Amino acid sequence: MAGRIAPVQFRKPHSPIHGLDVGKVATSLRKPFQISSTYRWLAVAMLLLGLFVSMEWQAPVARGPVTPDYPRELSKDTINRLESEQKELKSTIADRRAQLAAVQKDAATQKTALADLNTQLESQRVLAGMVPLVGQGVQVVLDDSNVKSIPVGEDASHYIVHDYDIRDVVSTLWQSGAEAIAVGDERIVASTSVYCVGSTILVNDTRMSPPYKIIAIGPPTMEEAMNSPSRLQSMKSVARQYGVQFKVTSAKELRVPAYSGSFSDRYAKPGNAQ
Amino acid sequence: MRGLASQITLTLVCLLLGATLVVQFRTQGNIVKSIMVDSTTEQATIMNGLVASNAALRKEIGSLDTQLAQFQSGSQASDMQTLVNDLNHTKIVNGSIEVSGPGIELVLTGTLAPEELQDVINELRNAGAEAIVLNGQRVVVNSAVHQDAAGVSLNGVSIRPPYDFEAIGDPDTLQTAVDRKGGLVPMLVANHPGLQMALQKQDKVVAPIFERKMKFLYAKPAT
Repeated sequence: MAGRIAPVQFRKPHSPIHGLDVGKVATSLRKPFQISSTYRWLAVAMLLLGLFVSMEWQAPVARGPVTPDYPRELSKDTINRLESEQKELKSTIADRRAQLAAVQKDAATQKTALADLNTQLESQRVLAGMVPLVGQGVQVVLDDSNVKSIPVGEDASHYIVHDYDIRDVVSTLWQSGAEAIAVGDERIVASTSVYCVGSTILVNDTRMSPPYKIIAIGPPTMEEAMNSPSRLQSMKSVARQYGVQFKVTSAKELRVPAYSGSFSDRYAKPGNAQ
Repeated sequence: MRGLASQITLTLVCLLLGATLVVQFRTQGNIVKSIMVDSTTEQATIMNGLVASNAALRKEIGSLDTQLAQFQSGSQASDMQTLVNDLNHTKIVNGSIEVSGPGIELVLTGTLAPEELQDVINELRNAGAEAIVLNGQRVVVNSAVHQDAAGVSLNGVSIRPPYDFEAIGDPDTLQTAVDRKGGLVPMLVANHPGLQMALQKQDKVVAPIFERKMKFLYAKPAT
């Protein structure tokens, strides 16, 4: 029975309206609309249901302008994935940058070391004769004898300049303070040999021919030694006797060429270990 | 019967109503949230931004890798090595570094003139010696064996017989050059009675460093 559900009730007026029994009027008004309370409740419930269903129906309408059609949950996942990628990439960049900084620092140190080595190399090259040099010095010219004819029975070899003559001049120049020496276009270096093959003189394995011009950059003591009677005695006596020519002149500016050959180091290795 | 049917209907309707209400509120919640953080437009913007930004990050990594490779490829390192090699090579020539290697040892016992000793050095140079030592002294470019008050000197240092020549180079070539008939050394031996000669190939000859450095007071590099 509908008695369990409280009926909708109009408040019964306490004070009766003048001459009117409201209760009776209300009841009488209700009369044509009299429905059982259960159905009343059902009606209300259905009304509300309809209302909410229709509201829900409308809900999925898109808000704002039309966009790429990502389902919302999928978008969230994608963004999370991209963000974790981003984090990883940033970390990788940080690592690489640290690596690069370390390597660049090394290189800068190397650069200084390189520059230092280069300076050393330059001075060693100058020492080795691989750089042309200029300076004051002395010029010595040796030439074969200019006698008109060689007397019969005389050894013709007395009348020519020999390799040992050139060697002796070079040796004496070194001893008297020469800093750089050249014979013709050949720079005298550590491996230089002045050698005779037949009647040909070779310097640095290069053929020379008279007159043999020897130049040396160095102090005035070189010229003194060249002119001193106590130096190069045998050569000077041969010169006097056979007319082999020996001329010494000082010079303000001489140019000694760089060595144009090679140095072998196939066997000699730095250090003592083998 | 009538009462039960209507009761059941009413219950069902209320159930439905309740369920609808719940869904309605949930949807309401979602709508609020999406309005607050990102609409699908904004989500797309964020995503596109991340994609582009990550691409730029990858590009940066690529650039850093290339730079690193340039350093590690050894171009700097090989520059260094080339310089070191050149430097050592030149130092060997100059006697500015101790060296060792195979070669020969020639000992001449007897009296010899400075020029003759210089000639032996010349002979060894001609035979391709890469380093020469005379009585323990490194022979360098301006080494000259000469006569002074003390006797025979090399590099200003007095030397006396036996004259011990050591040379680094191909032992066979060196030996043949020194030994050869008509060569300097046999001639010296022939010309100096009592002069003894001993020639031996060596597995290891040590050429010490030449300490004194030549000073250039007159000579300057040509421009």
